[in-house]
Amino acid sequence: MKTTLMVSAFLLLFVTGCKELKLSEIDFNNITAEDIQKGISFGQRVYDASKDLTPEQEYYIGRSVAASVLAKYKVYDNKGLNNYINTVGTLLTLNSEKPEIFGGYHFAVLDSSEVNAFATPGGFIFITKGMLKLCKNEDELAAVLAHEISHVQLRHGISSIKDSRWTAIGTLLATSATKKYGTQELASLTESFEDSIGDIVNTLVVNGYSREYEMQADQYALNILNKTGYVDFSMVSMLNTMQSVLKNDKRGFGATHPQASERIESINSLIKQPSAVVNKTRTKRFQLYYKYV
Amino acid sequence: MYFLKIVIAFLILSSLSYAELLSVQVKHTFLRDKPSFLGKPILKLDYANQVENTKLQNGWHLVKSLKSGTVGWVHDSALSDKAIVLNSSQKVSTTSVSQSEVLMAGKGFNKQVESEYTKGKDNLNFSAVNKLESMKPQSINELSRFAKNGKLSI
Repeated sequence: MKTTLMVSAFLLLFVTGCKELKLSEIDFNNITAEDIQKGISFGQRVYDASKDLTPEQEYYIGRSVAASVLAKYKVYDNKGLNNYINTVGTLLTLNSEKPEIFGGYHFAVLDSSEVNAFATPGGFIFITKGMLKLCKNEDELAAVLAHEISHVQLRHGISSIKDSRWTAIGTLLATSATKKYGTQELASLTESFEDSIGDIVNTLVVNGYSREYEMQADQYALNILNKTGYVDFSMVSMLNTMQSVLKNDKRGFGATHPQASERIESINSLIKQPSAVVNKTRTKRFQLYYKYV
Repeated sequence: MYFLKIVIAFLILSSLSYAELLSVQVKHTFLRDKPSFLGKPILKLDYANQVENTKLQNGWHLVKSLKSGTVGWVHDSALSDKAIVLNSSQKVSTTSVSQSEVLMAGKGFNKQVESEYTKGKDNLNFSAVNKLESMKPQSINELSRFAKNGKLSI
């Protein structure tokens, strides 16, 4: 009965539209106002102000975050290697839930020995030479890229904008009626924009995502790997490698990611191909580019 | 009885919105002749273009372009159920239940805000970002060959 009541409340929210629901106008017979109120409270709780950002706005945030990352790290000047990374990455996105995003996905190798990988909102995905060096084959590279694609699709970057900013952002987005702004409005928007970029860059480069987000991204990535045809166990083997290499390294990935052992534990039961044996053609073409790392 | 009415109303509204309008929410996409990225592109669609949705199959919408009447498949991730307008004077068809919300393209965090944000900052490298964006994407034939050789899916 309770379930029926809650389902009714849920459906009512859909049928009448959340904002227009007037309890006094509804004769529920078996449904109490308290039950409906619970439904409304639930709806309000799950409402996420970040959803007001359009994919276009997310793209502009992502461009600025990427500009900040690329001021700190240079793109590695090797066309063949960058093309290869883009091919593997694009193939993974085509097998994901969001193959098309506003500005498309862009992958690049960063010229740094630090072991790290970043993904900005809007689809800019970076992997360092240091991280690439740890990959033993294309499937492990795919595991790293799939993890970063997952952060984009799960909107973890946008979620790292502090809660306190959303009231101001929400008000600005709701009240501005045009896309060409006057001085005052532009100044307010730019301030919110700058604060948001700061939060995301800080999360990506300094603090890292929460354990929860990292594990979500790992699990989501397994689906992408499986749909594409890569061995999903490569996620475990890659994490094992990082565990042993980054034991005492507190830079980059070592500083911003939870212990690999915790991450392995959270995905172990989800692995569908528990074998480290990967396709020879894939490994061979990976080795062709690996020599440039 | 009331519960039943509510369920019926919900189902009717769901089915109505299903044959309604969708807007392109990415810079560009293609209408394809098959529900797959391997399908032949038959029409280029731009941001905010509207299409009429006919059916959804495994993440692909069979749609009709409002502009040209061309019918084809577009991936769900490229479409929004909100109407998107490029400027305030533009008229869009918003007769559908699902497109009752209208978004203005370029509103909020946009190019103008980005330009303002970059003023006086030397810790941003937009030229590298622009370079990345200008890189020619792999053709679907290249991707298909790459996938096939490595026994991967596309």
